[in-house]
Amino acid sequence: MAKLVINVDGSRHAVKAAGDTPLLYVLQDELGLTGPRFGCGLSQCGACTVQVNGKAIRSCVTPVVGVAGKKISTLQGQGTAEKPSALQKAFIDHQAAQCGYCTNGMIMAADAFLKKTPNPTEAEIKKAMNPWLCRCGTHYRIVAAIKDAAKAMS
Amino acid sequence: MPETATPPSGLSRRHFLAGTGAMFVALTLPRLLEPKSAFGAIESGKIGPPTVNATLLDSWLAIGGDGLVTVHTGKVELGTGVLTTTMQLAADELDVAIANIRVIEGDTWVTPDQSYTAGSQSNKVQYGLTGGLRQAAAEARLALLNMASAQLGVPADQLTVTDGVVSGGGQKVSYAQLIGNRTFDLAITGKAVPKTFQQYKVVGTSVPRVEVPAKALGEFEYVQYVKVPGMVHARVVRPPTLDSKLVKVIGFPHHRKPAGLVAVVAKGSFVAVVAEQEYQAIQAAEALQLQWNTAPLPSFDNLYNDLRTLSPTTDRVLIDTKDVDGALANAATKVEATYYHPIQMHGSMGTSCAVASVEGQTATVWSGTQGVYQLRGAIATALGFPTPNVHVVYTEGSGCYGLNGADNVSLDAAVISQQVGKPVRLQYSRADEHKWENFGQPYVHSMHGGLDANGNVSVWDFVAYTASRGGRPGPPANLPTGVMMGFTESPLAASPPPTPTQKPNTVDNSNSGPSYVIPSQRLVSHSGPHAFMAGPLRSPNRIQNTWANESFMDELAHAAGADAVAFRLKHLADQRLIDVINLSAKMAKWETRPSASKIGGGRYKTGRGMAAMVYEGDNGYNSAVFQVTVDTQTGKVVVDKVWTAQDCGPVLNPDGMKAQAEGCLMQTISRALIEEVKWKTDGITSVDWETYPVIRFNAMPETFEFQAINRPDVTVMGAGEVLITNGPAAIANAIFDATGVRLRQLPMTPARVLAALKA
Repeated sequence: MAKLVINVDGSRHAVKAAGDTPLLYVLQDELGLTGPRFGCGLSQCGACTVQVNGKAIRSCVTPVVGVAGKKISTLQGQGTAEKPSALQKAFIDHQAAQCGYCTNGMIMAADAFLKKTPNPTEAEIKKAMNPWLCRCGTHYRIVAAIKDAAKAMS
Repeated sequence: MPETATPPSGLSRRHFLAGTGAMFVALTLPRLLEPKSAFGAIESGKIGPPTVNATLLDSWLAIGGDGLVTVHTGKVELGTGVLTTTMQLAADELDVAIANIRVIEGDTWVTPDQSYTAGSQSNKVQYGLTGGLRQAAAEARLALLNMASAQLGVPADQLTVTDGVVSGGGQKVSYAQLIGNRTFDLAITGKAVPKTFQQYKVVGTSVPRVEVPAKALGEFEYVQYVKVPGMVHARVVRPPTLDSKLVKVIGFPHHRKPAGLVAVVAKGSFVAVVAEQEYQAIQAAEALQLQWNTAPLPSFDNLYNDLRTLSPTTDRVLIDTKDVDGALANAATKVEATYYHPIQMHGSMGTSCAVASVEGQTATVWSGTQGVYQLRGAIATALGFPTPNVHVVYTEGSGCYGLNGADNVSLDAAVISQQVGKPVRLQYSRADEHKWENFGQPYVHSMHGGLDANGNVSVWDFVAYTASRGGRPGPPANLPTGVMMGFTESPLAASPPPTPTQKPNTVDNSNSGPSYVIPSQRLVSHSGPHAFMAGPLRSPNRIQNTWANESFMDELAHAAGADAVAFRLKHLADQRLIDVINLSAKMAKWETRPSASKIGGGRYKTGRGMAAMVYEGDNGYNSAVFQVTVDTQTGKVVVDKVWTAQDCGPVLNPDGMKAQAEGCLMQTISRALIEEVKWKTDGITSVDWETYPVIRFNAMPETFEFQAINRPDVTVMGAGEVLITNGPAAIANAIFDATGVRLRQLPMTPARVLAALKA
C-alpha cells in the first residue's frame, strides 16, 4: 500500500493509519494536534471541524484517504499566542469559551463563513453557526466575537 | 506480553481476564506534577500520601525560589471560571500578581481533599473565612510578614507587600528570599485574619479567565489529549440495558482478528476491546459479537405512574405544621396541580475520556472527575488496591454540569489497564456517553394549596415523587460500570425521622420548601429505586422542585386574581429575595396586572412570566422574568427576552458571573423546551444529538439583561446554578400569561403546547 501523505497547516505528514481512518484520529493521535477533537463521530456537533481547501468539514467522518493532496488547516494553524488570528483574538477578548471543547469548531466554522461572507449580520452569523453545538451556553459571546472579528478582518 | 493480554483472536476462549501479575514497577512521575512544588511526602517517589493534610499550610501553597506561588486546590476548573477566581483570591491575600501564581488542581498526591467540585460550593468554600484557601493564604501571609519582621527588624504591622516583595523601614525582602523552595512547616492556626472584600483589589474585577487563550488557540491540554508512553486505546461495548447480563463473548466475524487488536477484556458484564490505535479499537468494538441476556426496561409511557407507586421508598417529612388537612378544608379557595419533570442528561459536548496506567500494585489515572479523592476510592476498590496506591490527577475535560461520564470512564480505563498491563486511553462513543451517564432525576410533584378570604396563601401541601439509583463515587456500583462489573449497589437509604420545622426552605438543601411565609405547610418526598443510574445534573432536585413550587405559586396568584410579582412580594420576608425580585421586575418594565389578563388575538401570542428563589435556602438569590411568544398553530414556544437579577454576596468577577448566567439561560431554555431522555424496553433511544437535541444558536433570546447586586459584607454564595433553576417555571408562567393555558409537564414541546391549547 502506498504511503498516504497529508498536508496540514503547511506541513507534510506521512500517515501510518489505514486510509479509511477518519482524519480526526490521524490529526489527534498521530500528529498530536490539539485543535480538532472528538464530540460525536456522527457529523452532528462540529467539535472536530477542520478546513479542507478553505471549506469547513467534519474530520470525524472524513476518511484520511479522501483529503490526501488537499490543503488541511486546523485551529493551531490559525495563529499563535503571540500572533492570534482575528477570530482567536476576538474569542479571547469576549471570553467566548467556558469548557472550550466546542471552541475549535466554532472558530474553524466562523473562519470559513467569514471568508464567504465578510460583513455578516447577526442573523446571518446565527444561521451559519446553527449546525455547531455548544453545551455550556456560550452562544452570546461566540456571536459577539464573530461580529468583532468580521470588523477586524474587513 | 503477559498471558492476560493475549487477544482472543476469533471465537471466545475466556472472557474474563484476570489481573496482571505481581511485579512491582516503579511509578512514573505523573506529567502534571512538578516535583519542586509538590507535597513533601512524594519524596520516596513510589506512593503518595493517603490524604494531604489540610491542617498544614504546606498542603495549600508553596513559594518557589523564583517567587512563583503555587496554589494547591481541591476545587477544579470545569469551565466555570473557578480557577481564575481562585487565583484572584490568592493574589489579593498574598499581594502577589496573578501572573506569578500557578495552580495545581485536584491531585490526590498534592491537593487537600475539598470534596467534590460541585453544588455551587467552590467559591463559597475557598472564600469562606475558615477551612478553605482564603484562610490558608492569610496564614501564609502572616507567616511571611513575621519572617520579614525578624529579618528586617521592623514590626510586622509596619510592613507592606507589593507583588511578593515586603517593604518596611526603608528595606525590602521578597517572599522568594524569605522562603523560596522551602516549606513553611506550620499548622494553620486560625490566628491570621483574612482581608475583607473591601480591601481586595483583584477580587471583584473582571480578570479574564486564565485558560481561555489556550482554549481559543487550540493549545489547551484536555484529558482527551493526555498521552503516556506505551499507551493503547480502548473502547467499551455496553449491554443493551443496565441490568442485562453477558452470556458469552462470541468473538469476531469469520474468526478474523481485527487489525491492531491487543485484547478483549470482560469482567462480569463489563466488556471492552483494546487496540494499538484508537480507530482500530472503534472498529473492533463494532465487530465484536456478544450474547446478552437482556433485562427489559420499564415502560417509558408509565414513568410518572411508576414514580408514584415505587416500593420501597425513602420517605422524608421535611416540614409538617400538623394542621394542613384542616387548613385545606377551611381554605376560601383551593388549588391543586400536578407537575411532571422528565429524566434529562448532562450531555457533555466532548465524550468522556480518561487515561489510566496501572503498574503492579499502583495506578495513575488522569481524569476529568469532579472529585479526585472520591474517584480514587472507587478505583482502589475496583482494582483491589489500598487506596493510597491510586493516584488520581484532575485534567479538565469537556464541560460536565455534574456527574457526566467522567468518573465512569476513569473507572473503566483503570480496570482495562489492569487487565492488559499497559497504559490505556479510553474515550467514549457518543452513544456510550448519552446512554450510560448518571441521568438527572425525574419527578412528579403533587401540590395542594389554599387561599384565605384575603387572598393570601394559607396552606401549602407538597408531595414529591422521584427515583434514584447510584450517584457519585464512592462505591464503584454508584456508576454504571460498577454495576456491570458486579459490585454491590448501596441499599436504598432508610427513611429519616420527620424533621418538622417552622422555618421554611432551610429544612433541606434542595429547594423543596417554597421561599414564602405560609402558615400551614407540609412537605413530603418519596424516592424509590430507579431503572437508570442517576446523579447530580446542574441544579439537581432544585430545578425540579422549583419548577413545581414557582409554577404553583403562579397558579395561586392567578386564583387570587393577583399580579404574579406583587403576590410573591406580599408573601416574602427575606429582603434579599425581595430585592432581586424588585430589580428584575424593574429591568423588565413589568406591567402590574394578573397574568393571562391581556391575551392578544392572532396566531402569535406573547406573554411574560417570572420565577424567583434562594438556591439551597442559603446559596444564591435569583429572580428572572421571561418573555415568550407562542405560535398557537404549531405550539412552538420562542423565548424572546429575559431579564434577571441575582445576589450571590460579594461579586468576585463580574464578567465571570455574567458568563455563568448566560450559560444557565441557554441550558434552562433547552431543558424547559426540548430535553427528555427516551427509551424502549430494550434500550435507551436517546443516543445522539438528533435523538436528544439541545439548544442551538437559532433559539437565543434576542435580549438578555443581567444585573448582580453586589454585597461585599456578606459571605460568598454560588452563582453557577441560580438562573437555571428558575427557567422552567418562568417559561411556563409566561406561556400561561400569553395564552391562558397552563403547561405542567416538561419539556414544553410544540406537541405538548398544542395539545394543551386544544384541550
